[in-house]
Amino acid sequence: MVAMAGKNCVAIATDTRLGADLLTVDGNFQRVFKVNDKTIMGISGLGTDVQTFNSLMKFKTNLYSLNEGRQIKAGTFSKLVSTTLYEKRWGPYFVSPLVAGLDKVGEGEYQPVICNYDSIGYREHSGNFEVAGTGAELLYGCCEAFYKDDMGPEELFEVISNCLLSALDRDSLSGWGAYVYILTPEELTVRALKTRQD
Amino acid sequence: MDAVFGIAGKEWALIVTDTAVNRSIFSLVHDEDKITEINQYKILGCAGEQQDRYAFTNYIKRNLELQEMRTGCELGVEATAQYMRSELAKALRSGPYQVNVMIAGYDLHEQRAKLYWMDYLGTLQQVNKGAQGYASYFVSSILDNHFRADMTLDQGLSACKQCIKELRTRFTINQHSFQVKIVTRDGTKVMKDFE
Repeated sequence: MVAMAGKNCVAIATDTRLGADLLTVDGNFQRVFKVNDKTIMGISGLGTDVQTFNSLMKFKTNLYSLNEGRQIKAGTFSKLVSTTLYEKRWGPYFVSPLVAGLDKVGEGEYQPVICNYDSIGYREHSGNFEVAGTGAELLYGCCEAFYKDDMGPEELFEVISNCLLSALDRDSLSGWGAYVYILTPEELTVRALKTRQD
Repeated sequence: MDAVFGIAGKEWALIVTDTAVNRSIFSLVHDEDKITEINQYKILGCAGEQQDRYAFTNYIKRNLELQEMRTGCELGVEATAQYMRSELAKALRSGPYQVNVMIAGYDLHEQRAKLYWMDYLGTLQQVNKGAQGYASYFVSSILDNHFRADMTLDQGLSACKQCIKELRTRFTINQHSFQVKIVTRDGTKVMKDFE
């Protein structure tokens, strides 16, 4: 799974394999979830904790909206993920979440928020791209080479897709389909990538 | 060691299990029903230790009945599966139920059949075909080959027969009897001593 920032846009790309060790159970497992109009979260790691953690964050953001009367900002959400993970410091969720969002800083100006976490909530937010999952090491090289600042949504889609596909083909535990989620201030677009089915 | 697998078409879904209870080198029982009928339109096939199977299926079935009595509404198949998932996930970090399940049902609202795969940790995934345990190593590829989106029930049953034949030929554990339960819009049908 990889998350990347562009100019006024962010993207998360993920594979869709659900596996139990070396056996593939299904090729359509959902790992990326929409938090609100300005934030998406991808969760890699143990399948059950992916689903539990998503439900837990949905619960917390719903409570937040009811208390505050507005949607949670991307930057705030990224810190909420961190504290939620640390709540289970001595019995953690076996997940590596990736948060991608847009924080409004002016009229038509959005600051991208790209965060990666370890299982107990250390938040890494370099600002450019973050990687997670079994193919993380493979993704680092590609992303570092192809990434550039201030990409538009279309260019961001091309770059993130190529990075993901290169890593997917090398990692034996990733594959069986891929989705790319592009988030702009106007809309969330989801595109499926044609990948090797192995 | 239990074999649990299933396929779903548009209007039907079925689960096949073996009917043996084994303890170390002995085969104790040959007619165990491992598929619980939650209600007329939902069935739950469980693989795992007998006590965990018994405890989990009964707990789920009775709580769902209670909820139906309290609210007057029957849950859809997706909601039932999510409820089961949340119970497994809740129990995971205190005393997990060691059961791997396949959930099949006919959703009356959506007017279609659904099948779910769930492991003992609480990983839930909607599938067209799936298997739990060692059986998955033998039957997954057969189900992949035979499955079509517009399959009829008879085609599904013949695919299951192929799967059982494969298990009998290649699986070390001798499983001589299997049971099928089929869910359609008309309810659940049981086929004991299938093949």
